[in-house]
Amino acid sequence: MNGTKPVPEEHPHAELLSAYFDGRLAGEELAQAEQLLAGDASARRELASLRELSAEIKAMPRKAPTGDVTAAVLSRLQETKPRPASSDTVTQNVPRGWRSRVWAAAAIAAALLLMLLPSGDQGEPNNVAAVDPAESEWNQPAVPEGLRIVPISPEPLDLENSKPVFANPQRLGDGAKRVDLNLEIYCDAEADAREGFDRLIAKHNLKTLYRQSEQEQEASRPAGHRTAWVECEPAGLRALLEDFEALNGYQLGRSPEDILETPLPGLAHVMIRLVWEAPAD
Amino acid sequence: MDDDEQLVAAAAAGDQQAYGALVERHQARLYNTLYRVMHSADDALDISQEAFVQAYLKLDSFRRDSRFYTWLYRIAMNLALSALRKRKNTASIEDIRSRGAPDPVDPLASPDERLDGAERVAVLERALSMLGEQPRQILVLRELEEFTYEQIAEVLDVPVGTVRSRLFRARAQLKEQLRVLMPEEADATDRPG
Repeated sequence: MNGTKPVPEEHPHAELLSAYFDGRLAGEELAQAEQLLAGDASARRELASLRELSAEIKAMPRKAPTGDVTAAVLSRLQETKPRPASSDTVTQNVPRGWRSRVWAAAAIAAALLLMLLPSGDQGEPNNVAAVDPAESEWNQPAVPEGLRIVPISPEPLDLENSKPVFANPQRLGDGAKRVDLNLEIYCDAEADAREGFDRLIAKHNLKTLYRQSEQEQEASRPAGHRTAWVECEPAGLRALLEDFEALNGYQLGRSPEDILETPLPGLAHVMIRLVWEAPAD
Repeated sequence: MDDDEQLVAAAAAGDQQAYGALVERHQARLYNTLYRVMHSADDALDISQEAFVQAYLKLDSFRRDSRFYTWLYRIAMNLALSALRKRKNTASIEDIRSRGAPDPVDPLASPDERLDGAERVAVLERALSMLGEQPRQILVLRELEEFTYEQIAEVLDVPVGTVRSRLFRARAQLKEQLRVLMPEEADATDRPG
């Protein structure tokens, strides 16, 4: 993402240690790994990092299906009986309504998610914020589910020497806290989409906090997508959402009602994530 | 004969309720795996359902020398891979929302300010989602499902030796993604000490 730090190279025996961690070594390889671990601190660190990574993955919360898979499967099987004697016929006769609907929705969404801005950097965004490590202490108030607060630095930011990593802390100049509404606005390829976007940016005095570079974008999203974060004042949020709703070629990631009913606990600014898709080369 | 075998035998004889019991037994685990591989609740639910239906229709070809759930996972992983490849060119809104952009991470924070558990999980999920389909699959199978190399080889239809090398590369790629998302934490982990 930032390219400022050299990436530590893998341990020269990383594959051996990976297999050792999995308990898959025997004979000479096992002896080699044990000898390595006995005399090489970097090998021990590599093994420790494998343990840590594994533990963290295992600790990820388990996800449960929201629908009744068993009932859905049995319902589909009712429509397919009798069960064919061989596997060759598989799902040709299986109703695929749910599946089809999902993909149809994805296709429609994809069709709507076309270009707003051309690829490449569009120049420096307004009021780009960056990181000030000195100003990061703050008391996080209780916030409703779905909101996340990031701290703000009252200090000017050194744009030359700071990576403008979206987050902590960002300058607003008033020491106010900012809340991320987790609102995404998607823009499509209508001919006037960018013009409308810029108009709304100006009309609502939205500040661009951070815009991903092409390189960062490539590492984090499907090809062609671009992301920027802007902020606005809560008082202007309703008007902003209404304008976005009225503008052709935009979709809101959450319903305006949902957003507007979310209490904003005394926060001065909200962040909005803008997503668009750059044109194919 | 274990419970699965009995249920499979009954299902193969036409007992759909027995198959329902198999679905009930394995659906939560399969869904979680698919969710981690696909990073989409809708897709995970959809592929779970499709995998169970396909497995039922193919029961005659199920060789009883492997476990039912390993065989089921092979069907599910093939479906997931196929769906992910289609999805590459048709990114849905839900897909984009679930993948999200990098969450706020301050690379200059002091150790005391490093990510708490929930944030760390979010970053780990993000890093996993940024891997290619194959490394993500093999990591989920090994680390989350704790499949053996032999089971992974069967599910992915690759030699056991390939599992070892793929797993190594997948771990290296995940660590690299975490370094990108959390450079300071990664540096601290890598630091001699």
